[in-house]
Amino acid sequence: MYLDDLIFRLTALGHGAYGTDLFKGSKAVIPPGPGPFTSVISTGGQSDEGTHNLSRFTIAYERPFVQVVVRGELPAVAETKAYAVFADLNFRDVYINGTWWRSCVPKQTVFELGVDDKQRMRFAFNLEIVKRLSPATS
Amino acid sequence: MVNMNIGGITKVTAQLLKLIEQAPDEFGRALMIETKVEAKECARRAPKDSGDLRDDIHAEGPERVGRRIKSRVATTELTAAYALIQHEDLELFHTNGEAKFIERTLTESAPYMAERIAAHIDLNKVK
Repeated sequence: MYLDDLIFRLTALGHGAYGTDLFKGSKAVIPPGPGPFTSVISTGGQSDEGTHNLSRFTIAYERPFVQVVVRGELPAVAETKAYAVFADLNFRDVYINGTWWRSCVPKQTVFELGVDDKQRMRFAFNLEIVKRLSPATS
Repeated sequence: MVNMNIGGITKVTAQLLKLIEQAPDEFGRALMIETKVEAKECARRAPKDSGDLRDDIHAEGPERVGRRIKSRVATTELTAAYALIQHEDLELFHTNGEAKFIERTLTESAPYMAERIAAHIDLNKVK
């Protein structure tokens, strides 16, 4: 669900279109071409958070981790795109698709991840997210 | 009128100051016990080709920075660049081990870490 929300936000901010230059999940097939292509992949996360009103047996906030990878034939283009996405995925207190996101914060700055199987340069960073589970609990 | 004479204040104060001074060393010792456990688990979950990466993962610390005591699970410079790719590249296929071998290990332990460290602290060692 949170990957869908991230794609929604990136689309709304003009970073591309899902299935064309925005992709989600480790099974996504990245097309050939110069790019830049941006993908978001779930990498686990921390245990959930409760609140005063919601006991520890009811999930109030989930805290997933996501890796963002931007790849492109021209390293400078891919890196510029990675930094643009990096800036836009650093936010607090935002509704996305009706779900309350308390925070979405990069865990480090953009770093090189080497080339992919088509020799396109990859730049990556990781996100730490705290959000409600759904619009119904937001 | 009641006259009171409280004795031993100087001694108690000195003992408390010693505790403030020396307790962080004991906390650091306890922290390192658990950091070594984590480092061993991180190494076990690291991808293995030659085994150099697994052999290189180790615990460092404790380091006192002001009121904070820090330790880390790290590699040496010999394998750092390789370790970064192995840790972060989710497109690599590993026949054994996995990506995020440090992050996932520490994230899974995080909810229990304070309790585990506390269990090793022995304030009787501060004298």
